[in-house]
Amino acid sequence: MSSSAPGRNVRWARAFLAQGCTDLEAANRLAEFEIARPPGRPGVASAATMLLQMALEKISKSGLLLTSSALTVEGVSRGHGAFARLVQTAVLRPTVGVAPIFLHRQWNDLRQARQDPLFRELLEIERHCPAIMGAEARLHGLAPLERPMLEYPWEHSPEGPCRWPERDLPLVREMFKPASRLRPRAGAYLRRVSDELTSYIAARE
Amino acid sequence: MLVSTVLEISLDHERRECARRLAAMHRRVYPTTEAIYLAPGEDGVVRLLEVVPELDLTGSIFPVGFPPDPEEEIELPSVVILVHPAEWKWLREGTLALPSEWGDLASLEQLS
Repeated sequence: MSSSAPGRNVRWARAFLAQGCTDLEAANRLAEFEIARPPGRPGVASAATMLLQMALEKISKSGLLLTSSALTVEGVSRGHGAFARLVQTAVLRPTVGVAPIFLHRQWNDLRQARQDPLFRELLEIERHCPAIMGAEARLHGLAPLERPMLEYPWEHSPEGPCRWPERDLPLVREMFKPASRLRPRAGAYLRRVSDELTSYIAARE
Repeated sequence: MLVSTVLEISLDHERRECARRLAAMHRRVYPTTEAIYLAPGEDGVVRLLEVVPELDLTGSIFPVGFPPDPEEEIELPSVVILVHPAEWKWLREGTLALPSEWGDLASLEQLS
């Protein structure tokens, strides 16, 4: 991954990182509220998870933009799934550029990475955005509204009940189980990546 | 005119050799890779599109850049796009698109 990304890419990388950090901070604040939520107030666990997903996407796009001067901002900033694709491509050259920042512990080998609960959890958080669930629905010949996702309600059939993330999404329940370490680990991973990307960018400005 | 033509041929040869070495390296990481394509280009960057079933589906296209690696005889920078087979199908159907600097899908050359 090249260290010669031109000024525009670095500026956009810094902007994606800054907004990603804002999303992460908001996710943490909402999570604290959810944990101590007074009875009768609406839950915010799904919104906290959605903000974590948004932070993951933006911080990963920041990393993508730093990989090469041959990339264009337009070619990187669209779409969803930047974390999965960055990590899955970085394993081709795991010691170069920003790759070591994102490749946590044994993730250099994708088969080993899939054994790590944190890696699987980050992929699950990312995957539950409407765009990726829409792609999965298309792959399986389902209607987009038939895939469970963060942000919007869904249904398993037009005749069946309508479901929504705060009440019905297993991912959200898993994230906020009292004994679960997944949400704190995901947050800690993103904070570490953000700190290291900040230093990486500062060294190039 | 002749000198510049010879230089272009030489650069293109180096780009192709580099692409073949990268393709072989990448296949060692992803042995199930279904196909690897080389995009045209005159900017000295090797652009490879690789169809890999092991990937998670995203429905989006994300290029990732790499610097030269002289120790591995990779003398040129590269940009790699990994796609899931379904994303490759959607690219061919025109419902997904490559970044503009990659040119048309029809101009991709299959390496392996």
